[in-house]
Amino acid sequence: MVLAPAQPGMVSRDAAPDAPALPDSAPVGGTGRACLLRGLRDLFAARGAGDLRAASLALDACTARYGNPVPLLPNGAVAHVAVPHHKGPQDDAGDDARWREVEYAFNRLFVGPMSVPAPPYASAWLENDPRLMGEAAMDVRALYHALGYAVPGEGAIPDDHVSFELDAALALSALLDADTATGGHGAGRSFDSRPPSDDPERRMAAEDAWRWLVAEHMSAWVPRFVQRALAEPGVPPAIARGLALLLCWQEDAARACAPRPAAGRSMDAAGPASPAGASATAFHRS
Amino acid sequence: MPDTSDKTGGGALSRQGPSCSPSRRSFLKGLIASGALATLPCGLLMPRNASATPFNKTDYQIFRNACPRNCYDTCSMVTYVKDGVVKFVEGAPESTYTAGGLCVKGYTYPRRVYSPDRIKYPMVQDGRGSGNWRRVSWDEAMERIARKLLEIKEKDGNLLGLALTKYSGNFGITNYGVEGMMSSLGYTTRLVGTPCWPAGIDAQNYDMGDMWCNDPEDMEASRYIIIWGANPAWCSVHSMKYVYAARDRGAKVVVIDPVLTQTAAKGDVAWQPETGSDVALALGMARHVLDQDLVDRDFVTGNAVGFEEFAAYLRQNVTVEWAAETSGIPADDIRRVAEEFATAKPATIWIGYGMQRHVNGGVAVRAIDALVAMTGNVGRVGGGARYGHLQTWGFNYHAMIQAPPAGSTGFVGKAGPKGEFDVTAGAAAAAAYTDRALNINKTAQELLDAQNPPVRVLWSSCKNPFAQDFDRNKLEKAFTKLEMVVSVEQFFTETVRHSDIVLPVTTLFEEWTVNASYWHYWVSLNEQAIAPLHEAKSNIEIAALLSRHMNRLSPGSCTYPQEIDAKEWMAKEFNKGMYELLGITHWQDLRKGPAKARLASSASWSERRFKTPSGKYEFRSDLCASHGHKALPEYKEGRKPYAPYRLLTPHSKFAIHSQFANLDWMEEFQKEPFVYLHPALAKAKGIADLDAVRVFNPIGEVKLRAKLTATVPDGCLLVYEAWFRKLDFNVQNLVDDEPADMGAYKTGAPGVAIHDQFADVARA
Repeated sequence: MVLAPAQPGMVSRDAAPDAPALPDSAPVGGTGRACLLRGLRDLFAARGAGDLRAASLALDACTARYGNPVPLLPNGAVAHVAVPHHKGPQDDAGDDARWREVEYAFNRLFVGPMSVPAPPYASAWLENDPRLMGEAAMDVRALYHALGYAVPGEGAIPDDHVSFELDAALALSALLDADTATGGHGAGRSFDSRPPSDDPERRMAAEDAWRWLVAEHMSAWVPRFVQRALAEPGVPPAIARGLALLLCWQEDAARACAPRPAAGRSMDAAGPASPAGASATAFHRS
Repeated sequence: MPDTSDKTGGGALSRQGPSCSPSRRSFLKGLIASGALATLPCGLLMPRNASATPFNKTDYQIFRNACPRNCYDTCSMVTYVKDGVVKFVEGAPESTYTAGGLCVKGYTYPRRVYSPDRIKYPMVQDGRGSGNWRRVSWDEAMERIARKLLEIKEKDGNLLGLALTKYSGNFGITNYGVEGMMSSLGYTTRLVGTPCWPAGIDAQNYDMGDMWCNDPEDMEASRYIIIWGANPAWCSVHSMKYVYAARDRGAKVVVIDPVLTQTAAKGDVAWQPETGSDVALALGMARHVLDQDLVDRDFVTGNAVGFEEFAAYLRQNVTVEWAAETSGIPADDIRRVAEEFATAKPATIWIGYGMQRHVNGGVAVRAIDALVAMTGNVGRVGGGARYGHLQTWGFNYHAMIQAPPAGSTGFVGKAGPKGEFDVTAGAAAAAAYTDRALNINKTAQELLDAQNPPVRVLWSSCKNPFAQDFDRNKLEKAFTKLEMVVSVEQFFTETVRHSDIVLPVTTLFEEWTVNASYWHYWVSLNEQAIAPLHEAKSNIEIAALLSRHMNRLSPGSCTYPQEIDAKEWMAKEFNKGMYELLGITHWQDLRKGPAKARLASSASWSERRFKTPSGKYEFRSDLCASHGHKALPEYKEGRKPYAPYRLLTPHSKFAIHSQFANLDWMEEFQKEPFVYLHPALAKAKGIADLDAVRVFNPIGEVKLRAKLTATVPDGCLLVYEAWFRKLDFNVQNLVDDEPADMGAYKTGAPGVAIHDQFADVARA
């Protein structure tokens, strides 16, 4: 529950675990990737110090459990930033103050109210003139719609906030993991255990969507976003680590995107959408 | 589309370029076709029921909007929305005034709405000026404010410790709900008056009983146009077509301005008089008209009082040579233009707001009015002393008129109007208590001086005090006295920087309202075209929310409705009178396009029944004399210099006060401020073009680069006012709060002598 908040950025400090290690029963998803994506999503959606701390603890937990997924970083240098190594008796107040400083810095970088150096919206980087609600936002909106989702308050909240895009990546990742877990394996496309006849199309579509999102769309802005934010003076370690994890994940994911074979695929073969819930059981996580 | 490459997303900037996904549409379809994805672990995204709609470029939703800025033109706009996003805006073709085109600023509106710089959430600053901001919910923000208001009410026994500073940042009528919010809380302190045009308003009220200009569209019929202290080529671009049309028909265009403005460059005659010598110039012209016996005898005897006294004053005290010496305009030129003006019928003078921002600005307007009147041009189509009007502002002010809570106490004393738009002026006389009025043009000093109680909480909306209020350094000091500052804003201005709480407010596209102009006669509906971005709320929604929290914490402490329907509130602003004036039966008619007031004549005062005490045009105004001025428009000297060079701080083509200059499209044209000075002055000071300089006076200083230009007179420093988001620049470092002569009568406080300022310059 902790790592899969139901509301954007609503991971409260009270709900966060005190220790980085996850209970064995925690529903972390199939992979460290999901764990990481959730942590990053919640970090960049943070509304305040409590959210930042909770997301940072979650990222600590991910790296503790799955190893540091950031090979480019000096080993461990920014892997664990949420929990002080030597927690003394008077550190609680200091801890609060420290996370408050992280919050101020986070707002100066991403939120405002002042003009921020690194707006966390794709359109701010992909439009010829930086703006929000540009074509990039419409692109990801179309993706969310195709997944059956939308941002809460569509039209008011820009669809291309990095946290929504990470949420969509998480969704696609789950689709791909589900296939893998039930016999599908990447580009190998073994769909023998998939009951509905449109599964290969769905699988291909999910792969394409993943490629587009991480390798095309996010590739076009996330590196610049991260580098611009990291160029600011005094970025707190919790935020720097999040930025570094984001960039490394995105670059790794893009790199892993093999070009898709052009042959053997009907582009528009999809039939009418099936009723909601009809095939849902087929995609349960194992 | 074939798969074209082995790219793995390295094409950083090329969304349209080759990609590892051959067709995004195919995967979108595939995902939809695969059906329910309800088990996806989305934590931020929420389930959506509709399926994706096909893209259709022509499928725009079209909305009516109006530019709500403090601008002559108040453009009627058409907004094109696709996918819930404003794609572009146009001028409404239905308005013959806007005529389908906007100004360079208006076209940037999509940049404003979708600027990454917009203030997105209510936020609290821990330590004013610290830059340490936290996000809070609307409820948290309002509770914090409500608790503070209840605390100061408890402490002081009234709410006079709460002050409102609001002016012209958004002229949409429902935004007067901010004043309504104040009234609904009790008797409060108001920063009263206007920095803009009050001296001229009073002047025209003394002369004619109201400020009422001809329809600008009838300038086309003028045979002679004097544009005096206005720069419509920049600041009222839609009016220029009438000036050109008149000239095409043979009219002569004379532009009087200390600066060779873009308007002056387009005129037939450009006069660059000594700044502030307008009274002398107008009186000199009047003297010549008198000498040449070009006076309209019918008008001055049948429709006016006091002309003979005015004529006697001219004969005894004014000569053309004196006017020439005082203004620097050669006597022969004065004579020629005066004669031409007096013999062309109709002839008109456009009296700009710049020329009345002087210690003698009110008298200057009276002197120019007199020149127009004595030549028989008042009440004439194509004539008139054009200054402004409020004829189309007869709304209900439903949002504004709110009753204080029962038992409220407040200020005891004389109550004047709270600005030129105060429809409640006069009604307050019957009440036992009133709001406390502080002079908006001396905001800094008034905040410092206010006692019993001091101003503890300042609420700022539709206003950017640090950009517009005078003597910035003093204002900074005054702000340290305040216990809480709340800014309602769209961008991180210097005022927000000096605030404790900032509340994000809607743009014109995100609220319902209605807009009128103080220049032309069109009224425009402003529809909500898109959802408010982020967490922005309109001023009346903010008021309703504050009321909810006030009443929760202390039932009965605020009378403002706690639930409002913004569209309904817009509709409540209309009345039978407005419908009749506009020739419509329902506000919905305005969805078809803006409507123009149906006027008996395009000329104001066409029946020559004036609203003065005498019912006539008053060359001699006893009312004016009773207010401490001269009864006649007698010469009044300008302000004595307090530094070596005249300093002018008008607004630029790319901004209205602190609005617009912060948008990227405007930055393209205006990246930084400059001080413009004449090459002769520059040479004397050893300043080369683009040198870094400092401009300084006893008020403060600004650092910027110099541009040399002969369009600015020798001995003058010109710096356009603007707020640059990336620069620490503020002309109010150099402008003090010296009052203009008039303004208190109709707006509650005298104007301010913005152009009677002086400074020195040196290489930095």
